[in-house]
Amino acid sequence: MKDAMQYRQARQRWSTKNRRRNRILTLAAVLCTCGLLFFANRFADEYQIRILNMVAIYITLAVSYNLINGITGQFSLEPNAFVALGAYSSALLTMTPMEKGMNFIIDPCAPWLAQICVPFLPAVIFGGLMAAFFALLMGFPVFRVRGDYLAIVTLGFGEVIRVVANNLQTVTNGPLGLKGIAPYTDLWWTWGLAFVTLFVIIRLVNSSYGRALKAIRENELAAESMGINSFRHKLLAFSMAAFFEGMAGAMLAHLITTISPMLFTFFLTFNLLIIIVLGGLGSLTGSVIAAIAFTWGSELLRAVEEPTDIFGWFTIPGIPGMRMVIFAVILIAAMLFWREGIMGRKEFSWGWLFGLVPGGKQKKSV
Amino acid sequence: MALLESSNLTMRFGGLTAVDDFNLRLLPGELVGLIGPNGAGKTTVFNMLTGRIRPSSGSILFHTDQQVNIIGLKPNRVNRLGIARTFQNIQLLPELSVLENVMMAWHGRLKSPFWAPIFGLPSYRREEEAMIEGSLELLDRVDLLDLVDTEAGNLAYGQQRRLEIVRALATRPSLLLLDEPAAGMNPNETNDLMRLILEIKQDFSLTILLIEHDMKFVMGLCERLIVLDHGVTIAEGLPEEIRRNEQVITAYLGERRRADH
Repeated sequence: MKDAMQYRQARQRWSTKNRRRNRILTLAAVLCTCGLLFFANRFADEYQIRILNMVAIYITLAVSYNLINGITGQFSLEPNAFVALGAYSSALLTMTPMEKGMNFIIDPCAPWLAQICVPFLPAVIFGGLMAAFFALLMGFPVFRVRGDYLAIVTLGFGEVIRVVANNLQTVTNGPLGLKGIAPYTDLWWTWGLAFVTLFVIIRLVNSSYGRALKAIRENELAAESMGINSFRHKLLAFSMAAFFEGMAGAMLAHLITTISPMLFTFFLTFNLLIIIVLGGLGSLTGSVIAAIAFTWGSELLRAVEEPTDIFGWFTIPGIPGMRMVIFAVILIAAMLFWREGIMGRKEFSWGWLFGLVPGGKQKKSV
Repeated sequence: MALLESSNLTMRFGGLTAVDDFNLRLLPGELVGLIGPNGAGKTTVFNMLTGRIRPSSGSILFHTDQQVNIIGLKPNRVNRLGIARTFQNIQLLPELSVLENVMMAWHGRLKSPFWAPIFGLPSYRREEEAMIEGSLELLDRVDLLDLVDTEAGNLAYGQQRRLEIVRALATRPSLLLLDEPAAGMNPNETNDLMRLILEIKQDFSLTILLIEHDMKFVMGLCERLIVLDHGVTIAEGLPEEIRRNEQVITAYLGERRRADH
């Protein structure tokens, strides 16, 4: 027993020292990002700010999607549904009765909804709660199945939500969608949400609950036999992911100010899937890196959709959607040759960074 | 008062009766062996006792004085009641560290809700500390302390077996089910394992039911044996009696008549 005591003490001394150092570094990194955002807000043009906003929204979405797909290992395909729920909830809640009147031209807005108008923050949180509520509701039947079946059932749910949005004329204005949503979203909102999401999910994953989720991913049989209620933990991960996805959806609605059911098709889920697979299923920092690369990359790749002149010989006409072809090819290549993605299941850590510096090599991180 | 009592336990898979009319009565502090040829239904019995599969008929009572019925409970509930097991094919979490493998077994007892670690509540931090400390102490018992940061999948076979036992202990069971703990071990490792089992039985006041094919191991360790063949209990008694039992010898070696020809 004496051995264990000594070992623990040494371990503790070492880890508290490192934890303090890591905390300071993380805080510094966050402040740096905030500084950059401040400059971007001042000097960047509208297009660049738009990209930065999208980056933050995609970080939020990818990290929370990875919680259920990567960390818990439950392959599901429904985030477009939760994004839609959040976007519609928040958009409808913030619209003034007059704006609603202007939007609902075919059928009038449902009377219980028409008079509601709340500020942005409560609307966003309600959007998240709405998504989380549906996730809970859906989790009960859905988590009776595993693997491929789970993917198919959740895919179906995503479609159902979209079709409902398309047909619930008096609530969602059907295929016409909602226009003129107040543009509340700015860099501080989107990046604030991204940081909060990262903070909450990283804290959860590094706790005993995170261990339980990983145990379910690695070996559900063993996890259950060791007293872990796998069903409840899957529900927890699922609804938490939905909560943040819903809020990100709200941000999206107030960023692009026009939403329609067409925006929330399976392609949204597909984009997120590319991000988390490229970043590494089960790596949150990988998701962040991939989200940045993806959003930025898809802007850079706009070039391929424009008519191209090859040495003045002939002109390739622009093909809209060519970007998606390229991303699909990248995804296929990653799955064939680079299955682990950028980070695999590892996380970026300051200890690792110090290990790269010659002479700064330290003991294995605890 | 018995710790565990099963009566008329039967498991049918379609037309196959894997276990037929199995009766078991475990007294607190016993060390009982469950033996029989391959396919006799031993692991099926374990699966029924731990809630992995639901028996076709029969009853299982845990703590017979309190009449705790196990049938229909999920594995995690059964584990929380105090029945822990190891597996015939090792079931660790290969990509998590040795320490995490043990700490994971603490999670079922965690009192803090999920938001406690997110807000960094002191109540959770205390629980986490206790988890680490308790896990390290357990790992020290089985000489795995040096390997706490190793991925469990990279351990040697014997170490994985020991880790699995320690993980089961971390759930604080009163009844421990060991499914072929000595499988694939050399004689030295087997001897160490016997000592370990007796030690933990004493220190954690456990009742142990184990499946094993190594007869030396079983005869040397168990106080009582139950022999299954084709799902039927063919003998029950002290190791000495079992060793001489005609029916048991037949089940293991085939009938003498056939062997002669």
